Amino acid sequence: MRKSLFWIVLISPYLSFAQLSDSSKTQLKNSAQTLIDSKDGNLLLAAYGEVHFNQPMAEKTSYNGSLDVHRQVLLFGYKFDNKTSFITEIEIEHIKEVYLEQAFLNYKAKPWLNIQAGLLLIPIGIINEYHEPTTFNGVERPLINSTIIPTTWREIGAGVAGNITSIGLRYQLYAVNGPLGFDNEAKLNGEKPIRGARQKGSQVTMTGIDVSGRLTYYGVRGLNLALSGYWGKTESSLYHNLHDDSLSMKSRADSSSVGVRMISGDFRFQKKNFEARGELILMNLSNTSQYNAFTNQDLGKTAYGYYAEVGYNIGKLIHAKNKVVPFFRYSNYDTHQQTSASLIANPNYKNWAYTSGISWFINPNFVVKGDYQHFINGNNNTLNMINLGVGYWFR
Amino acid sequence: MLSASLEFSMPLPNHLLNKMNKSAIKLWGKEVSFTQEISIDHMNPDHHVFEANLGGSAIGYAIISRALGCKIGGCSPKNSEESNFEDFYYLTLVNRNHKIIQVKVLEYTSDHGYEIANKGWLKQFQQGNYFKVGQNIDAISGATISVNSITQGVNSQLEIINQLP
Repeated sequence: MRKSLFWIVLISPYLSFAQLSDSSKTQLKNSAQTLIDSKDGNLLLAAYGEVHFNQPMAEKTSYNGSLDVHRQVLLFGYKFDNKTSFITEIEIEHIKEVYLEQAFLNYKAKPWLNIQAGLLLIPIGIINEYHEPTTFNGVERPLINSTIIPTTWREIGAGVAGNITSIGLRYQLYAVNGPLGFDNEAKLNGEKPIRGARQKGSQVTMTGIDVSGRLTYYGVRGLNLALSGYWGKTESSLYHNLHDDSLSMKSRADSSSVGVRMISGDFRFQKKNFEARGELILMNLSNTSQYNAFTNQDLGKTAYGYYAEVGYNIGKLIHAKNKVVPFFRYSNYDTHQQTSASLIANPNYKNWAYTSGISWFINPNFVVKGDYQHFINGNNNTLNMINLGVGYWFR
Repeated sequence: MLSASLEFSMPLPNHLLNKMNKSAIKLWGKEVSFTQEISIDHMNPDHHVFEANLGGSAIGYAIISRALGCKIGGCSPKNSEESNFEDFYYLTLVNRNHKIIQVKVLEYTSDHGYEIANKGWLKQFQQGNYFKVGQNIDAISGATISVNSITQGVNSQLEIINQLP
């Protein structure tokens, strides 16, 4: 008998329907039992995908357009019991590359505490975790999500996540393997610092553990505000089979690894027909002069990137059935914000992008997108791009 | 009698009942108490209805409900003996005139759609007696399923309440 339940027990003699018959008790026990035993509803199937057309344009140079079934993702989830579930996403990129985007076990220890383990999405920024094409404007993902945050960034690890609904807070904290910065050759570079070093859960090399966390506040209506971080060190194949006494080998290995610190703030805001969002990411890499000297790379010391975007749903105005959102996004990043020692910052690594376009929802979960992008880099080279695409999501 | 009602309440986790009590005290004061769960014919077992009493007379109802099994294209209305993949629980407090005073998300596990727990957004349910996403309930980008689930859930809670005195 649980004392904590006593407070609900106040017998109201004048409510005859509040009295229980034995049969209703049995019935409810049975339905609770079925709830655990039932197989229907325990399987979750979902999918999203996008097909793109990109046409670059520049003065005095002609380019071919490209068409691509950029990604099709199938999500499977299975709920073993009320506490334990498993989720996996199988991603087919460019028709021929098959990856797992996520594959993790979720154990609900408390209503506000989930323990997760497996192949996890790194919870940094908006797009790395939430990139179903119906949830963001623009055919292509924002630039900083390919250059600085290597979306879709996923690694193997374990951690905790949960919602404290009373104050509108979501938290996530994971211990994961780091990017593989050196695997018999350099994997880091100045243009997209850690993108090429993602291990994606495939035969992962780990020297030490990295940590990533995110706090999301959604206590203000229409606003989603988050702060995320990443702390760690890139892994290196040179730490394998390394004898304590071989100082030169140890020093070689130390030169092949860099410290990674990232901090990111982002927001999403929605009020009536107006929507806005933005992300800021700051990256700090240590030991880059040793790494560059050792590998002959041009890795920068600090990098930054941000974008801000506004959109307005004109669906009602034009009597469309669903949302029709013209939008504008401004973005800027520099992966050579600061460089160490003798490395001179490469102006090509500093980029601005102006994107204007429209997301036309044929159905709330099927979107046709079109946008025009103007890029300019630190050398004043410009490029324009027309993008068209369709995207869907269902479950 | 005590043991009977305790057994009846078993499908609903304790912490949800505690949260219901807390919210009710905030609204109606310390003296508020609940009857045992009210059983209603043909009611989906995902709804748990309690009558709130103050000083010996009824002042309203509290319903704790589990999310409907929703998918894009709609929510499966009522065969909720099956488990939903991503459950959440919410509480609705109504006054004696069957008017909603408060809707509150008590527990939310999934990593998508948690924005529905926002108090300001939930206040939309305090006006009206039938709710439709896009009309008197704002859609939330990225939370389609949970928005539909709770909206239809509150509608069905009201249907139940309206059968009561």
